[in-house]
Amino acid sequence: MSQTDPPSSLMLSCPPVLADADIVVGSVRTLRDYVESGGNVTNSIFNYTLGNYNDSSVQLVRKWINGTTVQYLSFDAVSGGSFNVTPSTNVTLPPNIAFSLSTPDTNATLRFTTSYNFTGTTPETPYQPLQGLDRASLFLTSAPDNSTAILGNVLSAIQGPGSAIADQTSFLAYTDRFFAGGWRFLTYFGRDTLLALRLLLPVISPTSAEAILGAVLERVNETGTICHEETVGDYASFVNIQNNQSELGNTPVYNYVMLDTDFLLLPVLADYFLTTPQGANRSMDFLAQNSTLKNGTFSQLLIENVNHVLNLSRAFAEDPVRENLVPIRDPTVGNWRDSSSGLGYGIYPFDVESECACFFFSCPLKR
Amino acid sequence: MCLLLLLMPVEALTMSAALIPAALRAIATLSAANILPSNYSNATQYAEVWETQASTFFQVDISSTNAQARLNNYIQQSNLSSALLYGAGSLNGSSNSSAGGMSGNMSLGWDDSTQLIGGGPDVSTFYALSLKADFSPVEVSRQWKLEHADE
Repeated sequence: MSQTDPPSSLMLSCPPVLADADIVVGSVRTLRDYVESGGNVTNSIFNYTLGNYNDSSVQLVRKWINGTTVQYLSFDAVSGGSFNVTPSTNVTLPPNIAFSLSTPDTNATLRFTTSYNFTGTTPETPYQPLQGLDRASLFLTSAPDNSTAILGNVLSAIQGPGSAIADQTSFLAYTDRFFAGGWRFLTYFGRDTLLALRLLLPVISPTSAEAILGAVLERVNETGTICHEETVGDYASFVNIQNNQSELGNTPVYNYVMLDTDFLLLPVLADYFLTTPQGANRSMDFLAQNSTLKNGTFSQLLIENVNHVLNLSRAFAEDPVRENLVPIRDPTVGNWRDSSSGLGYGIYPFDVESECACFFFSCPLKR
Repeated sequence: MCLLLLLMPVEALTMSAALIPAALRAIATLSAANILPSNYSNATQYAEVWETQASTFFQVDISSTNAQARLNNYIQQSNLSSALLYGAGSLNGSSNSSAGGMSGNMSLGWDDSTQLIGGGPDVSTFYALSLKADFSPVEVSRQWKLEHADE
């Protein structure tokens, strides 16, 4: 997230004193850890401090681990209520912030504002804003020639005024990557974005399709494995410290644990370039692009993944015994079911190994 | 992630995705289209082996008697109502909601030809969710017939 968000107001109608609540200030991953653990997982490295306060406003301050950014979370009592703030005597404990209604059973208006100050950017840690895609860049603006009437209707609905769903989707869309979802997954995920691309092929723009494909290719590692998840920002600093690599600052951290993701790129890339009208004749230019994250063109990175797929599948193809099936790489996760119990504690997922009326991922020649 | 599957066009019966063969087929397709070098055309032969051989290791055969016993056991273990096994919309497709029950010996309708599991008097086949490290199948069916979803 970047720049100042417009203030948000929320109306409260509640007992004279609000119930206890915890405040957590930080990156999405920090909030996820806290929420998904039921409030148990926190780390003092993410503590905020109390800034300016009086009976009508309170400001909380948090500096990023790498010192480049300061985040402010402010609450303003707009009407009908007031604050009573008591700093903690122990600097590691949060202040007590009480908000009370002026008159019982009367609505109050409380505003919260979050803003960022990028104070410490350096040539090594530049501020690089993401460039978002709006709905006109995310979806086709008109149906290709020879399309069905249904497709035309769908695109009109998407691009038409008041299409909230298109604007909501575009919140996840950027020129060089897509996010998996809000609020908890506002970062690159290979599986999510490749599956979303496959579902959206009839309506997606070339700009967006290639943003998704390019983001995946840029994150292919030296063994041709596809990246599952990218950790960025302040939380990346935390992970690097955990890995005894604090010198990396907030350099992004890449996770390559998922097995199914390795096989998701090729089918959708083939379908996009070879079966969609908007993808036709675009593969050469696309694959000639240089990656910005690592050395190599998209073509070279694609071939790395091709070789990886062949390496994984060769043993069984040459000798189809069960020992040559491909197990998940991690003891517990590896496919979209995303948990050991989801796979029934097995390690060879049916989805990965086998086929039954495979229409979803089948390629043009198979139909 | 399973929510995405519900948005897919209703065309095929099963909802499984077969990723390794699909990726191999894509390699062959891209190679034939000169998007990948031509020396990858052997991917087709790999795909054919995976498509014909891999599923056999996941195959689970179950008699209708055994299927019924497992369902009854599941109902008990999960503290669910046995009414779920009978009556309109249940697995046996009966329209008589009071048919069957824990102690009844009425026909359960397991020979209904639309049943995925237990259809007919003999053995049904389904495919396991996964295999364990010792290659034993995890006997949870990961496929649905969409006809059942309509009933």
